[in-house]
Amino acid sequence: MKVLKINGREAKVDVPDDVPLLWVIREELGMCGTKLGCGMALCGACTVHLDGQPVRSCVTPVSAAGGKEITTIEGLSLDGSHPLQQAWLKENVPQCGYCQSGQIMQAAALLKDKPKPTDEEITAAMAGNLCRCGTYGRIRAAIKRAAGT
Amino acid sequence: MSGLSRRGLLQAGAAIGGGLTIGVWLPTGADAAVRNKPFAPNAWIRVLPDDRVQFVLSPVEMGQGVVTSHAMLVAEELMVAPQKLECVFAEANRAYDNPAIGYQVTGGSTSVKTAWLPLRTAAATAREMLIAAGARTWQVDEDDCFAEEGAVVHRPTGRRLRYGALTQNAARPSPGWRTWSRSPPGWRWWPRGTGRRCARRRC
Repeated sequence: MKVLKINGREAKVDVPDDVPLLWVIREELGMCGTKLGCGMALCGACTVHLDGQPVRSCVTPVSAAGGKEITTIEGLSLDGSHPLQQAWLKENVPQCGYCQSGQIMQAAALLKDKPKPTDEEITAAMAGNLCRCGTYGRIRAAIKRAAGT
Repeated sequence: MSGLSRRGLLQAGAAIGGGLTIGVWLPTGADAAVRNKPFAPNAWIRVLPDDRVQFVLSPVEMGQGVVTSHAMLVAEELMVAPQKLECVFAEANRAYDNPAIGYQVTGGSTSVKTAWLPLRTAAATAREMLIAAGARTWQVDEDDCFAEEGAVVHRPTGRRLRYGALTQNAARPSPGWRTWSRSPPGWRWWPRGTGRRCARRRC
């Protein structure tokens, strides 16, 4: 039995060490905001935070999350009030929505690290998050709106 | 257009169990295949006795925004705020084929083009039938009645009846009943857009 710290609470899960964190989040804990995209850390749809750092949960074994604070899209804010979530709504960012929780988590880590990122810093930080609908322009606009730049 | 009579259409609507259902027939290649089967239109308006208003979306929503656009089209004619309209996804059926493409699909910037008249006509028809029902209830002239915010209003007296209270009365033919579409200059939501429906859940 493992004890995970996730979104400000503790959760007990009984899974082998090498199960991907994404599976634990979705299947064991029933939080489905985090998505499975490629399963190989190539698309960013499964991005969550470990101690504030963005990681691809599809290739992160659950054992690597031991003792660390896991944050998923469900824990970013209680009510969708995080500045990025508000900016996302203002800019009408999501289309199908599948990649968006990963995009938002990636952007949240960026803004925590660099509250006023330059265009280049946004490009570099977001390069690993793919969007099949092609919402990149609005993602960038929403990040800038949230950053106030 | 098909030869379906208004009476036939209304009977189809009355069979759905208490609500007012308005269908609209799109000219598609599937006409011949469907003509001899039960009426299966590819766009519907449903007004339920509990005031819920539903529309059936024939394009497939995968992020293109057709829930948002089509809700606005219905809203402009039916006089119900788009946010209050419930969207029902169409089932798999040849009747829901995209008439510009020939199968059930969202693409080629055809969704609004192909829904523009038929969906508005369906909503406008529902509105006028509800207005007629309101006028019958009050025994007043239809021309003194209008629709706003999901209700029929009698202009001279200010009386109001919610759509949901009119469904039984509306689901029958009326000699005074006619359809006209409201002209875009008077539109309320379409010109500025409403923001994507479902966006909050996706953030």
